[in-house]
Amino acid sequence: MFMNLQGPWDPLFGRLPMLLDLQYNNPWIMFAFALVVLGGGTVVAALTYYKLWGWLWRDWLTTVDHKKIGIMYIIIGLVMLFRGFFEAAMIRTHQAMAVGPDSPGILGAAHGYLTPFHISEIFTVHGTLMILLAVTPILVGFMNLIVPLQIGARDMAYPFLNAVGLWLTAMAAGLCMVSLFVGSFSHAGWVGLTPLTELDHSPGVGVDYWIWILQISSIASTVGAVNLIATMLKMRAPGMSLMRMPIFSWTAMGTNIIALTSFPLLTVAIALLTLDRYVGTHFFTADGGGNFMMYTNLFWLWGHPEVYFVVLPAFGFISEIIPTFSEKPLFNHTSMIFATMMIAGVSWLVWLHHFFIMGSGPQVNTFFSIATMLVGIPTGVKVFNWAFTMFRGRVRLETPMLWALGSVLLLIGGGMTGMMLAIPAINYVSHNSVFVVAHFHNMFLIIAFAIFGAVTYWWPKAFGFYLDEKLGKIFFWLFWGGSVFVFVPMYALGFLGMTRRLDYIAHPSWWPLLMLEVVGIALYAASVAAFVLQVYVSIRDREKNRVRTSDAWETSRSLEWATHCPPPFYNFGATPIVHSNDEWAWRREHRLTTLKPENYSDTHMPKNTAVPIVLGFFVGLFSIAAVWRVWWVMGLCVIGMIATLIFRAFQKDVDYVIPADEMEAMEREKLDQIDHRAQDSAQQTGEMGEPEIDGHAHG
Amino acid sequence: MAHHQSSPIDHPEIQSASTLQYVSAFVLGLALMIVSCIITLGGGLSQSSTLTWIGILALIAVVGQLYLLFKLDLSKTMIWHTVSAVLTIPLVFISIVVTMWMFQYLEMRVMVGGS
Ligand code: HEM
Ligand SMILES: [Cu+2]
Repeated sequence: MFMNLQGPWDPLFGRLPMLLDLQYNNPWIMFAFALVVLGGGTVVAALTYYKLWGWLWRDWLTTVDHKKIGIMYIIIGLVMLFRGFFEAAMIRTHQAMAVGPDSPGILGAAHGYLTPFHISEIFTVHGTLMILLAVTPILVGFMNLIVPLQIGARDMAYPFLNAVGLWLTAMAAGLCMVSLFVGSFSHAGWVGLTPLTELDHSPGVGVDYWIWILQISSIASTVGAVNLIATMLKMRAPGMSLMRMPIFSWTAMGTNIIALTSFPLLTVAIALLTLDRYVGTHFFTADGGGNFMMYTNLFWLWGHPEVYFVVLPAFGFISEIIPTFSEKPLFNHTSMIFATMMIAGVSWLVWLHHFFIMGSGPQVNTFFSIATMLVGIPTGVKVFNWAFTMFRGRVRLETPMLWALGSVLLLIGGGMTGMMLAIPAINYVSHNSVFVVAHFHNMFLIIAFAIFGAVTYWWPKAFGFYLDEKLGKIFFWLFWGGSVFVFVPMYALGFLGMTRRLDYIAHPSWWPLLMLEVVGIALYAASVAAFVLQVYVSIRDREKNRVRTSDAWETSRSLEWATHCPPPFYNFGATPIVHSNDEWAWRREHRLTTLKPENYSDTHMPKNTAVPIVLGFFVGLFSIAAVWRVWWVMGLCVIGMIATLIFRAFQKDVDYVIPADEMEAMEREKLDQIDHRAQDSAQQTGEMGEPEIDGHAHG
Repeated sequence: MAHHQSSPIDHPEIQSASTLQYVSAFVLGLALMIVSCIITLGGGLSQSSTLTWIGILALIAVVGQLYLLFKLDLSKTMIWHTVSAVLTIPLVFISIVVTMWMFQYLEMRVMVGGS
């Protein structure tokens, strides 16, 4: 219907009959399938064996608690990161194998072990999922988890919307997993090069999978941004003026303003492409009046703000970790806020540096080149602020600090190469080379390092016990080694002229560098193992590694450390009053670290609801039906979504109140537990003497 | 924080609804549309001044609708909505005007014959 489709289509099953004549098969897909079935099967079996389905449904799948939603976001992200890592390993090993005309070819490939189409699918899905389904959900998860705690709110402004965002993201991730086994994926790069993504040039279902993954996750990010911005503007604890808001929350603000203003652009660009592919319009076609450069323009109008969307929260992590482990306040909180907002603003003015070579000429290129370099100013401010924070500080090299320092070091390499690429004359020779690939991986590694720092840093807050230090350090050094071995040779290969996205390397002299990259990948693999082991060991020994007080690192500074580890579902026993932009440090200084407020009051809480997951189900099914063009299922799903929302609109029983005395009872129990644990190092409740760290922490 | 289960009707945004403003928004929209129709169909003006005038009328229509229909003013309820609307102006400028500027150069330099 609508379009001239290649291959079969029927009204009942859409394009699904295409699956009957299998085009291409590969043992790797069987391996991945086995892995997914094994992993998923183990989880399902464990849930059934321990009779946990009810718990899962009640406590997690229908929750609107921002902390649980945040944790689920992070889990989705980490699982996708794990899958993305496999693809990276495949690309690296394939390229190292497919060097020169005499290189062997197996599994249907002339060289290496992946056919050109298959490796195109792999680098496309790798980029798409790493950016939109791994890094973005992890960062959104952290913002969900930490921001309400940092600003002293009981939950997000719109808890229901929050759960909707989570389930949309989960559906996008699910769609990505389905595409691995059913049909194919796009081969047109994560940016979706037009007109290659048009139906004439990509007649399969791959591009459609890519389209719907982008579309769903972009809508999820938009609603998440609305929610976080409203939360920060409207739900700060009394006394917390905007300028007193902790720096991570400020980066979340910058990031979400970027998201709110730029993701709708992606939605529109992808919607236009969808119209091209589904109803035959000519927005981005090469003929028929289309303009495929306009797609590139629209994509990067979103795409560059998106890269700052992912880097700002990472800067926020670093800015929280460094003061804690330097035992000093962040140097110049105010300038950090302005630098953050400046980066967010500039992010809108630079998109054309992704297509300098398109040919719009010196005037345009100069404008965008200068605009791009401007971002170095606020970024420089940040780096100096971090350095001055450490200067004359009492620096402790615990694992979170290692990750943060690694991140700042990487910023030098990534930022410098960015500046080089921002010079059009250099860009003309390096565009589309692996130099660019090394640049942006360098940048994303900053984010990855900051993320692992944040995981270690806030893990005791979220779960009440520490991650194992020793394995954490091993993980860090392996990951660092992997990064150096993969990306230093990649920079070199870029200078040697190696273009990106190659399935065959014609230049045998590049082989040694490619082999070094494989060594790096091996180190990465070992680091993944260390991380899994670290989490396992830490969970196993959790009793031994319990956090004793609310302040897991003893020198933390912001408000999230002023409640229990893990925080109860209502976050704070009583709404905290804020006196300083380093509230917890201020309280420590003034010996006010007691978690016992003067009095408790009734607290208004949202109730769990199954509506978001049901909505997610309809969206997920809709997108699969859309990929396979089964119109009637799409129609039913739209009706289902509308009906679900109408149902929600009439749901009256959506909240409840925790009475003050009940709150007091719950809090007393928790405080008793702390007293219990803190017997030998009495410091938490304040009723047991002065805090022991008081002496050297100063504001 | 503790504002409880309030009826949606009590929300300040809804409380500010006013028939007079809605009707005037409608009338304003209609009137501006008719005027621009007359200008365009009348053909008395040159192409560029027609475009200018339609542009001005459209701008008035947009501002009028934002104020009368969406109630974007500086009251405590609406201030953040107004701020967001104002902040989109530079973004619209950047994304549309700079794009046009860029495509104009591009066309001049890469299309056959230029334009
Ligand atoms: C903030 C973190 C950053 C991230 C996450 C990031 C990410 C990226 C990505 C993903 C690409 C390539 C996209 C593609 O073609 O597939 C890219 C290219 C580029 N980046 Fe960055 N980048 C960052 C910072 C910077 C900075 C600070 C600069 C310059 C000051 C910069 C300048 C460039 C330029 C000029 C290109 C285009 C290269 C080309 O395609 O020829 N980037 N970046
Ligand atoms: Cu960019």
